[in-house]
Amino acid sequence: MKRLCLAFLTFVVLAAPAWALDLKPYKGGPTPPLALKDLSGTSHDLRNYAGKVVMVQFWATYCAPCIKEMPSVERLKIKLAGKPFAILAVNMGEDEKEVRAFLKKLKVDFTILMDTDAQAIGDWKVFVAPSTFIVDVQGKIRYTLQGGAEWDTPELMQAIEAMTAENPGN
Amino acid sequence: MFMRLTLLVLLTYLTLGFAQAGTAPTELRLEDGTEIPLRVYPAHGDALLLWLACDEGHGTREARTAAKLAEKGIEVWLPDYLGGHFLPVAPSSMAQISGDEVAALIDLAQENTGKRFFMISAGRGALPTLLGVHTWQERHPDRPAPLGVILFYPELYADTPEAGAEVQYHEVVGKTHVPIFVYQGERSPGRWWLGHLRDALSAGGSPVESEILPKVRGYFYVRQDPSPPEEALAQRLPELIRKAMTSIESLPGAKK
Repeated sequence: MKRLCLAFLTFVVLAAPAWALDLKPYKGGPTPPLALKDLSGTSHDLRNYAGKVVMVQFWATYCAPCIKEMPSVERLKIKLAGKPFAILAVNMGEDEKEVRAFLKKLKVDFTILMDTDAQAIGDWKVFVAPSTFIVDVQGKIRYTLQGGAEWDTPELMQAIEAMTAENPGN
Repeated sequence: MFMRLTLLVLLTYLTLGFAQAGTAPTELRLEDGTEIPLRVYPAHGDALLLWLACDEGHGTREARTAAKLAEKGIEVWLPDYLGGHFLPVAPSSMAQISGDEVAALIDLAQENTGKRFFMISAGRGALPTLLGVHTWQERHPDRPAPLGVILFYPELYADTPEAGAEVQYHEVVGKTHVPIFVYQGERSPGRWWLGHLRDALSAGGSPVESEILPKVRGYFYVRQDPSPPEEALAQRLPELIRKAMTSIESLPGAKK
């Protein structure tokens, strides 16, 4: 009986991170280009974020799971402050006026990029909103997550935090 | 008195008898004995719409739209496959409808009406619709094909697409050979892949026309939380369907 309990506990401990994370290993090709302007007109190129873990998140104002998860993305940003971590939230082809009105209500402070002509949606092969890609310190996409999540749960935070500790040179 | 009563009973019997003989079928009986309830909205015109809806079988937007189309002379048949199979009313259940049973619906419609017909569906209902048309065309190459297929925000993926991976459509997408009209909501990721889907559908020889519907999300006419533009457009569903039918008939390769 003890052995059975131990086996069960071992299974739970080993299995928990897999189902709790919901992060899927990325199966696509090389990291696509991402060079877009933010709402103030400043250009952002993913290549300039080398050495940081970057959360590239595709979202839209009409997407209910996006709205639900955004506060947790903001909390993640605050909790990982000081770590080599950045968030690039790519709006999926909506107009600036609509996005600004939406952000006024939501009060988030991470970088919003405008993919006005949907070039990045095509390059990154995004079919669902939200779709999130976690890019490692070497600029390679490691994980994806489709659909909404609570990004400041210990499991997700630990996974991202562990990536920030990796040496970019390796 | 007795004579009058007898006459009344006889007249009632005859009236009901004639009415029965002229009525459309109320169910589709599949080969395995499964009975699929059928709601028929008869109309005098020569066009018939076979509508694979993911609805609760009564009082829905689809039913109200069908009634309005019938008033305009377009007959509509709404089979309740989900009810017939005791499946939950959810988009995912639509994937369990086989091409065979949709082909059986087309057979029944042809036998009973002989009308020129269109197929219509939405979301995940698009797949059984195309499977059904393909199966039916394979079985009856000699019979007139459907005039066309109208699809609202179709989901035709072989599997749920993964972020960053190439999208794979169901194999029937590349085999379909029938005029198709696609409506896609502007406020949905699918709008950015509409060109891609059109190319995939055209690969089988289908002439394809499409239109982006402004300010609405996918599933706009069945949403529990419709925005004002979605509610307004949902009211115009009969108009959208008639417009698609007209467009289909003007596509190159379409039957007149």
